[in-house]
Amino acid sequence: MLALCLSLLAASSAFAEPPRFAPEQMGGTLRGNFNAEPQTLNPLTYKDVYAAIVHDRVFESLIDRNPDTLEFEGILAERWEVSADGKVITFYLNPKARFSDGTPVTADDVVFTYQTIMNPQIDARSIASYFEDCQGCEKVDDRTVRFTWKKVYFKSLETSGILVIPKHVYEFKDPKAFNEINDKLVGSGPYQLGEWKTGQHLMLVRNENYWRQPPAIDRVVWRFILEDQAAVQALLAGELDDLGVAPEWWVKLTPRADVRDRFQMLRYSSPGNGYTYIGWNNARPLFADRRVRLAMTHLVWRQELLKYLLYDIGEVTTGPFWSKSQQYDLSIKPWPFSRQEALRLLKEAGWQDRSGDGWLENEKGERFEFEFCSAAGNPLTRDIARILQEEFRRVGIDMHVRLYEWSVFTVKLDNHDFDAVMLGWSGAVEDDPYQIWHSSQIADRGSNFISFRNPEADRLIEEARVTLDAAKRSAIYHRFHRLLHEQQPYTFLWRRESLRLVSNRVKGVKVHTLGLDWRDWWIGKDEAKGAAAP
Amino acid sequence: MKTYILKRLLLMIPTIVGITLLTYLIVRLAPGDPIEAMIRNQSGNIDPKAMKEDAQKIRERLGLIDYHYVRDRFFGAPSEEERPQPTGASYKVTDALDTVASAGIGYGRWVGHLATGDFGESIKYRTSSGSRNPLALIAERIPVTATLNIIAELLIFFIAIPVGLAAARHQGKWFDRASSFVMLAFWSVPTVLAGTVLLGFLGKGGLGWSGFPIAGLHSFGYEKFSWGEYLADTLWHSVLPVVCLTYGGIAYLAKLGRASLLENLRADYVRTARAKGLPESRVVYHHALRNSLLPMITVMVLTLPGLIGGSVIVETIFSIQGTGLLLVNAAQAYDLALIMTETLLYGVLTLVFLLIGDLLYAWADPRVRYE
Amino acid sequence: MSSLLPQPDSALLGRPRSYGAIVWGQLRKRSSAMISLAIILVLALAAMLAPFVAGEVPIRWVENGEASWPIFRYLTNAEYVAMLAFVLAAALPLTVRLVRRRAERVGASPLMRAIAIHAGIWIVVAAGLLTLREPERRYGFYLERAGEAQSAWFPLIPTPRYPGYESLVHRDEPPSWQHPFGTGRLGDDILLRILYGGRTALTIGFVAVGISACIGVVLGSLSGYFLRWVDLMVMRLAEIFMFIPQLVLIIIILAVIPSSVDPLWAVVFVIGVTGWTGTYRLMRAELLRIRGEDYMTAARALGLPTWRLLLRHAIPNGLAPILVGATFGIAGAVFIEVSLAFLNLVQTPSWGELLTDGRQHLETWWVWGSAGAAIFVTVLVYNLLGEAIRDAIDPKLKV
Repeated sequence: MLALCLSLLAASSAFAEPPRFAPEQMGGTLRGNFNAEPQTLNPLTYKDVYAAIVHDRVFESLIDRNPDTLEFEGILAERWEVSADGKVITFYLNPKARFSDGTPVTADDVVFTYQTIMNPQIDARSIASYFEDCQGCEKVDDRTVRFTWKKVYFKSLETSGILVIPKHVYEFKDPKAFNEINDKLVGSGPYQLGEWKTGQHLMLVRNENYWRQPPAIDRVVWRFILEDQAAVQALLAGELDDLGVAPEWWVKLTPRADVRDRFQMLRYSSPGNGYTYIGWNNARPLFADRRVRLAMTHLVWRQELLKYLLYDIGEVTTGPFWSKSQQYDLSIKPWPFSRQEALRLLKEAGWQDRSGDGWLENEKGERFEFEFCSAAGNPLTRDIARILQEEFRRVGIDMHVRLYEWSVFTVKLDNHDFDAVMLGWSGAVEDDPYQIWHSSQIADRGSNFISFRNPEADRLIEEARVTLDAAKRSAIYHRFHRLLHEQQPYTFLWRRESLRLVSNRVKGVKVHTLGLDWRDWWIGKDEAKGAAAP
Repeated sequence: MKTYILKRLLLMIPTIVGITLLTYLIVRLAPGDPIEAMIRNQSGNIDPKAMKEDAQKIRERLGLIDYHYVRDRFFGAPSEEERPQPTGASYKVTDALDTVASAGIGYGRWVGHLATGDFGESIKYRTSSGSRNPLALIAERIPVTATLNIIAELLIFFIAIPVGLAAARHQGKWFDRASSFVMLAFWSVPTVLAGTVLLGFLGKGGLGWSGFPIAGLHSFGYEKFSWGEYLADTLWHSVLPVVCLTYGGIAYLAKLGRASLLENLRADYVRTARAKGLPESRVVYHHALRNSLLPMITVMVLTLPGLIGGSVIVETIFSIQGTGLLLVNAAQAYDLALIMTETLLYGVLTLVFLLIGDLLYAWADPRVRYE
Repeated sequence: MSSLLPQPDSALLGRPRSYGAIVWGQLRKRSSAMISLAIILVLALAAMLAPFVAGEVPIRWVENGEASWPIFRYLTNAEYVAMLAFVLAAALPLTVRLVRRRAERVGASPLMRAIAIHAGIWIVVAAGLLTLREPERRYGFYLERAGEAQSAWFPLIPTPRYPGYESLVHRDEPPSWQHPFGTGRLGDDILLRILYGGRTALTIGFVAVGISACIGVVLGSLSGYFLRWVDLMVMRLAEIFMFIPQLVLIIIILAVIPSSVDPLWAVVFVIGVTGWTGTYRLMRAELLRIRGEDYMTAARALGLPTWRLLLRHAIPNGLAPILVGATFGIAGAVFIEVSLAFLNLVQTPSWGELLTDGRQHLETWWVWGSAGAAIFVTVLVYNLLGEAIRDAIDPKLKV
């Protein structure tokens, strides 16, 4: 009986321990750079990636993924249980967990975090939207908290494992007051806010009361150097320790002997890189025909563009999933570049040069003409668009390129007022394709703005959502991936890779499956020049 | 004189109203939805309902409500049949009228809020203390911009005057023609090019002699500096940006000084002074120079309002958080409150300084009389 | 008539010279002005004749015994219109001489008539072209099939007009014989980009300044002539445009313009519409001076209608400083374009775009170097010319 009950409860308790450091490895200041200043550091209303980077060191969540195995591990939660029907998730908090002011992390804090997120007057709607199907979060006892969901969803566990903020610090009477909080950072993480000088730098200092293994590095500083050129110069001058660079800098810097001597050069793919794509408006007659879309894919020489514009830093992708995830079907190979094949498909779909004027026309005599648009401000997009325009002209397709101001562009997307767009999506370790590919997301300004409507795809998405077994789910996603590959609603372009140069001053740098983990790094006692003057 | 000043001050009002109204209308009537665009930009894939609610909340907070909203509040919402269909010419006309009406009401509200000292809220920015008050945002960045601009103005003045003077004294000779050409050449270099070259070749880690700091105005840990160290550090950081800001201004002012001095040197009173037997140096430095400085000073007074406006190019290249970058970004993001505050500030300051400049001119030149 | 009356001095010197001729004479004496004009002419010609200098469409192509002139099919209507304007402008002296011989009576100056005739021809031809002709745009494959032709006259620098997959291989090449200014990140020839960028610069310069000059002249003369409340109102309008920072105003207005408008013309329109205040002030000052002149009083006494007073007498005499302002304005417009390109607001290929792209990669010096040099030289010559004109019209400097 007990064995049966135990087997009905799916329980997990992999608990992650940060690495241990010897005394001589402790100390030092890590100097990084942000290309722009975060707007706010509010733990729930933040909107940019820089704030997220800061929060990663100051706050902790109930569970998190192991950077190598990608399995979930407990951080603030010692262990957790998922009911057999998948709708009830119970977390058992680690009794040792403490905030930086010494107070223990309790279920009250988790419930408070949840309620604040769900409070409609708090500016956290983007996070709250993930909890749409969540019935509630309740305290079972001081150390136990339970999330109840209305529907089965494989992401419920991941979503429930929220970042926890201390109630006694952040509680509020007026929601506006909470929204206004800009730089109060009290969390359970290994660092806390040291100082934030607008226009100058943002500094985190060690949390002396950290409840787990302390990190090696004493302080983390980020400067705000807006331009790549200037940031690279700062790196080379020894003022920065860690910098993410664009491909053109990578190819310029990595061959240099002085760079190789002083820096570790890391290149890796992480799910956050996302992918770039060309979206064809499936609702417009021109691109409603699958053969036309496939022909367009055959005309985009992705390997060549990747090689010359991105210096081969990245890989051509065929689907919306991270290539290292279980969701991606590695057996699917990209459609090759082939003008003949493209023309053949177009002819099949009714497009050929009937009048001898060099342009493709259909039976009605209309020319193959469309507008390709994207957001202005990105030279890479502009370059790709120009090359494609010329290449399409070569085969007889008249493509016009327009780049729009971002706010005008989003309106066009919402109104589905475009022929073809070039954009990108960022990703997670495991993505739910529902938001982008399900037909219910076409209307109402959903993310399915290309109007992809395929009953089989819908069915696969819905089935996967409620499949809790990872292996079975991946199999469904493989079928979904193949479907997208056949249908080509997007022309998937590529996934980029992350490029980082880290000074040799910083040791312990390892590349995990998920990328770099700052918890590994150590510097040791700073040399006299190093610490105080970046 | 007093009536003149009063008249000028009164005339400022329609100008200010015009400036602010024009700016407001343009920003409100611009197509595209900056708020939703910003949310989408910052949050990535976001649930559409969540985004709409987010956007609506921000709109309410900023007072960007529609005319429909006001009309419905007062006159009750029209029933389903009465609602116009979203197509056709009549809809477009009423929609356009609604938009203009909303903008008009919005402007009225803005003026009303202004009277109570409420400058609105910035959509995009916060100060380091969390405030969204546009005045605070600008005020936070003014010290940086003003520092650079003041150093630049001083440099321009103290370099341009001697050069202009020397050119005038040696009019027609090689110094005059060479310096004239060189000044013009300086004037013709775009700031983007100058900044890039300076940073890339003279900045640390660059291609040439790399000694100058690359970004910002202060080194790390500057709070611990003594006053002397702080000053030296700031000045050292300012060298490259200030060079970018000054080279054009020097050219302009040197030419102006030269022309002004030449005009004075040809004047009757100088002939008289020379005829009296005064030494040339006294003629030039004591008499002619003083009079020729006048137009230059007026020009410089007029540039004072520009002190609060930074150069977006210099600030981007040298990563200086000044007002120039703030305002251009605000313009691109349609950040209404910031744009309006800046326009108002700049307009008022410029008009006031224009008046001061004219008064200065009247005080210095007894021939000028204002009624 | 009567030789007993004292004759004006000019009768002793010969035919009276018009104001314009005097200014021109002064200008000719200054070498800097002449050199500037020459350079301006060369730049304009180069920009206009860009397809003949660098490109992929051959001027003459002989295949299978048949000769053709493909480039003329590919030239756009705008290019033909520009070339026609150039030719007409160059032919102006001829027409002036013709008109002078045929019309002896006192009336509108022969120059004005000649300009009117040429303008008429230009408008008719331009309208005809724009409505009737569609230029060839398809891919010509000429470069690839060069071997098949018996004879092919390619432009001076045969290179693809737009970058494609094949050109990517040649990216970032330093200057060489095939590519005198090197290639860019997409393997596209930089000289070609400079030439076509010159078109953008000149278009923005001339058209934007043209717009702002027209607005400034009209408003300035109304303001300066009528004074009182007209002046008051227009002055307020000018102050409004003066005191909003031009860059911010441009950015905001650019956003309002509907996206169906070609972005280049949007930029041109916006620079023109926001930059008229300088001209306005100059014109107003001139009108204030002119309205008191004797010939104006005389004309008024003769009972000439106001519009004729303004149009025929006041404005033409006040135009000289406007010319100075306009010349400097062209240089200024090029600078504004560079700033806008820096902020990623310009979409047409331009020098500003080249400079902004190239500045992040200082080692490929030919990219930012050629763009920077092009901008510098253009702005310099316009500034030199402006200064020269200013000195030429300055009555005090006339010796």
